[in-house]
Amino acid sequence: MVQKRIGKPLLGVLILSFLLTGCWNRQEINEIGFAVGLGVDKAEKLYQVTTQLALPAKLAEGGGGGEEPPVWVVSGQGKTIFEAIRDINTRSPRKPFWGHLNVIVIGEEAAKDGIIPFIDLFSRGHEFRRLNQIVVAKGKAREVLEAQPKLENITAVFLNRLVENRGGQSVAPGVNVNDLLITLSTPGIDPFLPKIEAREKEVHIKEPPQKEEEQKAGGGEGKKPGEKKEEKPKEILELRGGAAFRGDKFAGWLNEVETRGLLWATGGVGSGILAVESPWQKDKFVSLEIKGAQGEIVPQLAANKPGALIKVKASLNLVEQQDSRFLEDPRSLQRLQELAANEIKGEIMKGVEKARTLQSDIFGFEGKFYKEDYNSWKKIDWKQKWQELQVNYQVDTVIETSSMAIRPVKLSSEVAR
Amino acid sequence: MNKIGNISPRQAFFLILILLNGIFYLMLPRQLVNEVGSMGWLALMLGLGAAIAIIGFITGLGRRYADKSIVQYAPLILGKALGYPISLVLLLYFAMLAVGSLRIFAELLNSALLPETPRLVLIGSLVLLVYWVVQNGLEDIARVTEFLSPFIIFLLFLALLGNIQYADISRLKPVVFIEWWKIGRGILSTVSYFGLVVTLLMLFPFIKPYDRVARMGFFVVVTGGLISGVTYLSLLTTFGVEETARMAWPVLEMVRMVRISSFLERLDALFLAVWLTTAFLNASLLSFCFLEGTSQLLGYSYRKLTLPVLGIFVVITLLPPGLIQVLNIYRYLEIYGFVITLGIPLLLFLVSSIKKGGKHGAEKNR
Repeated sequence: MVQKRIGKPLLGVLILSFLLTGCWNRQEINEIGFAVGLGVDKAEKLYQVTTQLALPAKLAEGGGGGEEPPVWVVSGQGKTIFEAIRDINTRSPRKPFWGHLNVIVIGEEAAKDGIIPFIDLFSRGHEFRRLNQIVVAKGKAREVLEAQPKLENITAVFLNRLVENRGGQSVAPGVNVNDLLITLSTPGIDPFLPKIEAREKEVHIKEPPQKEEEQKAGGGEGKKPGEKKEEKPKEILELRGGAAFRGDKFAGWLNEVETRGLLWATGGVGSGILAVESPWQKDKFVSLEIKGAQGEIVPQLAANKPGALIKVKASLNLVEQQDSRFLEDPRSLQRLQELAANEIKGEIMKGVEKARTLQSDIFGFEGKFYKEDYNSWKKIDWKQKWQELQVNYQVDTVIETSSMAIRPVKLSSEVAR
Repeated sequence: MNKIGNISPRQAFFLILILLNGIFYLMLPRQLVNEVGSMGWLALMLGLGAAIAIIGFITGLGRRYADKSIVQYAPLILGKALGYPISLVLLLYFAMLAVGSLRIFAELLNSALLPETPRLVLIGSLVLLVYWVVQNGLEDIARVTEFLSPFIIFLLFLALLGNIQYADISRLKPVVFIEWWKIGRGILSTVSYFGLVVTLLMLFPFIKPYDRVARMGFFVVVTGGLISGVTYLSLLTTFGVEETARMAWPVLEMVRMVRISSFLERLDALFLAVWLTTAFLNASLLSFCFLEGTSQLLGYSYRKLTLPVLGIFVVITLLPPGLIQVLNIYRYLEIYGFVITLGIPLLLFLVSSIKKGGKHGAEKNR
């Protein structure tokens, strides 16, 4: 029968034709440029999109010896992000491929003008992923992407690692596109993004050590007035503190103490060091390593005025002791725990005060009402929020271990006593 | 009669399960979120209840008219003047769904992977494959489905599991009770969605032994409902209500989020393969239902009809210009589908119960 005879050849044709549909949109690996980092700046109503394109040949050389960085920083300009990206294409023979993007850097100016207009593309374009981390640059995003930090060849990878390992200090939040979009669409909570800053030298080093590396300058213009010698890329990238927003517009910076205060309350503290002044000896400190922490903001209503109770529980680990008090005595340990709790409370209070001055609800006090007590949320007049908001604190700490030693180091005179 | 082959209840189970958690499953969550926000679980539960009732009507009818499909017994129950038009409506509904599954799949590939490939190429190649398997009969469709389903379900399960890391229960809050009419709308959607089980009206006579169909139907609806429900919850806890409503393909976005440590990520390509498979299986089953029903109506083998019918399907599939128009058309199917999925079995069941007489036992001539 006819059916039988054409059956098998037909099957072959079908399967082959199926395989071919994929070729229609093929992207040859040597025709695309892997965009690993992306920065958004704004200047005179136009968006400037800066991207880091990986140079596969340079990467293949084996890092290490290369004089030039294995990425090419290139930017384009346009009324929208996509227009700016297409503008890049006029200078790049390879079309940027966004699937391997590591991090999105938002420049301060762009953040001030609002992030809604450009965040859309990062959740719409099918190459972009919602897990991309977002950071806000102090100054220009391009400066951050042009920086040439050590340890990693690619700045964007460096940034991504920095964000991923933020838990060790807990002085910056970690926010991906998905989190940001959800925060933006939830009533009563404002976005809080990590702050990234490119520096020529570490903050605490006053005199820069001479470095004789003949690096090809990418054009990192030192934004801050200072001893500007030659144009060379900045070497230090620092993830510290955060950018508070009001709605989708940048409102102000939080320093690292205020940031950790916020993270305590929202449960974002992973680890970190709490240096508590010793109650027994002046100017001596005890280092407490944060082993784990839970934070919770409980909405409280008092006389129809909004309030909140910030509850934090932290378990600590004594890792360093400058004074010479024996802590075997439970009362001493108790004392230390109370001091640590006070320290934490102080950090949170600083954070809350900063939020109040910026009028940016990064803690999500209002959002807590919206979620937990919807009926009260509807009744409360939120215009008065910052005048009326009462915040209470409840911090519990427990010191669990003291690492490999029980007693501190002591001078012979003290031991004898 | 044609050599179409019989299928086991287990094969039927997988056929329906893949229909429920196949290509239309991609559309349900967004629709639900749009209509009822975070109260979708209620609509899902009630829709599930309705689907179980539908299964009850279908198997009730099936027992009375074993060896006959709806096209054959509808005229017996309602008379020719009403029976044939109702059969025709149901058949056209199958055709619409077949066309819909093809187009939804094409749109998915188009927006997520192959933006420049013409839809004709995507749909055309898929339809050729559908043609081949439909020509071979129901048994082949069932066997392919039975073979592939475990993989598909396993991968969906994996995606749901991989997404737990992003889940945040507080995104379900506030639980605000919305207006009843809105929930009612949501229920209509879920009844239309779970109503895909009306394919059993066509498939019933091919399932042997038929006395296990009721239990199979119950389990398939519960399993399918469970998977849809968990997906819905997973989506809301991962993306929140607003974001889920914003997305074109929430389920695909969910899969794109899956990341196991830092070495296994971007599983979207794998899942596009999954949905390619389900599109193929769904389109094949629905096309078969339409073709077999039509051939029963006209009285000769559907094999001669397959090619022209599928050709027409391709043409209809390509009519709407883009995703947004497709979604708008699909909305009508979702809102009014219940008239067919719940209405037809209910009507037939009621009328046949009233008429019952003594003759239903006589039909069991197996």
